[in-house]
Amino acid sequence: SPLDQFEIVPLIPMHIGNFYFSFTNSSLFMLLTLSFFLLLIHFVTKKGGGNLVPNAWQSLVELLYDFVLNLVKEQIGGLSGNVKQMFFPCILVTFLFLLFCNLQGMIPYSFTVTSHFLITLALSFSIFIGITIVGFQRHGLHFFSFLLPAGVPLPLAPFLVLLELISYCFRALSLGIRLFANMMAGHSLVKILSGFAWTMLCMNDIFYFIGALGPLFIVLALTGLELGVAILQAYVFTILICIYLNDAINLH
Amino acid sequence: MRLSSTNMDARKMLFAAILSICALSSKKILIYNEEMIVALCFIGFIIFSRKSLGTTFKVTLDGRIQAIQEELQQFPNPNEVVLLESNEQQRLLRISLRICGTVVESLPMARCAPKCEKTVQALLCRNLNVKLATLTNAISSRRIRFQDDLVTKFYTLVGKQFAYSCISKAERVEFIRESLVVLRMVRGGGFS
Repeated sequence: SPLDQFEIVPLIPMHIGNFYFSFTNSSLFMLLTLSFFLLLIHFVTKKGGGNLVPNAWQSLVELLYDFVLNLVKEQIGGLSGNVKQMFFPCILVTFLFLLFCNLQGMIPYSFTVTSHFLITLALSFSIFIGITIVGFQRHGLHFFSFLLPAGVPLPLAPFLVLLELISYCFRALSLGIRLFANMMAGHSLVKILSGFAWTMLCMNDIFYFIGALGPLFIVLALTGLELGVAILQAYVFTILICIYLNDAINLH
Repeated sequence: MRLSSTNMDARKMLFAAILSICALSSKKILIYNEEMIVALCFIGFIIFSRKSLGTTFKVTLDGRIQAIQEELQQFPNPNEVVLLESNEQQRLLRISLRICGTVVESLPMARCAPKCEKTVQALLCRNLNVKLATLTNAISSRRIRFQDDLVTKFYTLVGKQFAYSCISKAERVEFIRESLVVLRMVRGGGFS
């Protein structure tokens, strides 16, 4: 089945009481991604890297860093540079984690970490809670005025507050669902089409054999599309964090 | 010769690949299913994008490296500046020595006393050597001090940038002034 690839298999089972701490394939691939990225950073900064004039790999990492830095600078307004820099490490790490997990998921025979709702929801929910805390820290109880747009007639206010509250809370949910749905749908689609092509190839008929070229070509194109989606979704997640953070810091 | 050797290598690689594929599939390690197609398409896409986009990517990165290099070259290299300064100083010293020599020779006293001339020349020579030695010492010490200054300023800047404690405006101005002084020392050549 095309959904088999999303199955979480415990590699080292571990039960403590009612809790379940197994080392699964999800954690394995997360560790692999992390170690790959740390290795890349190590080679870029320590061994033969860290030069004033960068080589190609160092250039790539610097471009990623610059990209997120510009994103933070442009999206979060009304603060001095030093305060913005306070949020920058968190946003950079989120972006890099998502980007490398998504890209690693594109490699065949591997497991896509971000195609699980639990992981994306944990990420988006913790960030949402953090953003709310930042909002309360900066504005105190005045932060509740976020729920009531200016210039609203008083009779309409209760409904609007309810509506705004719901939409604010659903931001966290939608942030997680967007990423997980995109990754899962893309991977399922590629798997379904390749299964289609494989069945046609196994028919032992020359017409089916030629016909299988159609799905094959579509799978080839979808692979490119999926790579694009993997990069784009990491970007979208990051820019939405920046926008929400901007909303929380600069009340309308 | 070279072509044939690479050809041989490629043939050996192909042979090894076919053998390993046979061995892996007979041991059921390599299972043929639809994931195989995904893998083939992935590899195909990687090769295709490498061929079509590889040059663009390389040009972009090379352009970035070039831009950084050009930006760096606009600043004077302190080593070169020091070298030019020392050459200039040496030239000036030589000229002054020559003038001294001619002056001594033209002295009427020198003609009647040839021993005196030798002494004066020896003295001048020693003077010259001492001056050259002090010049090189001054250059090296200045260079070390300049490097130390640069490192200290850099650490101050980076440490302040990353410590999140806001730099006050006065501090910033003070820092810029100090770095300007250092820069002027380099440019103005206070190496004598």
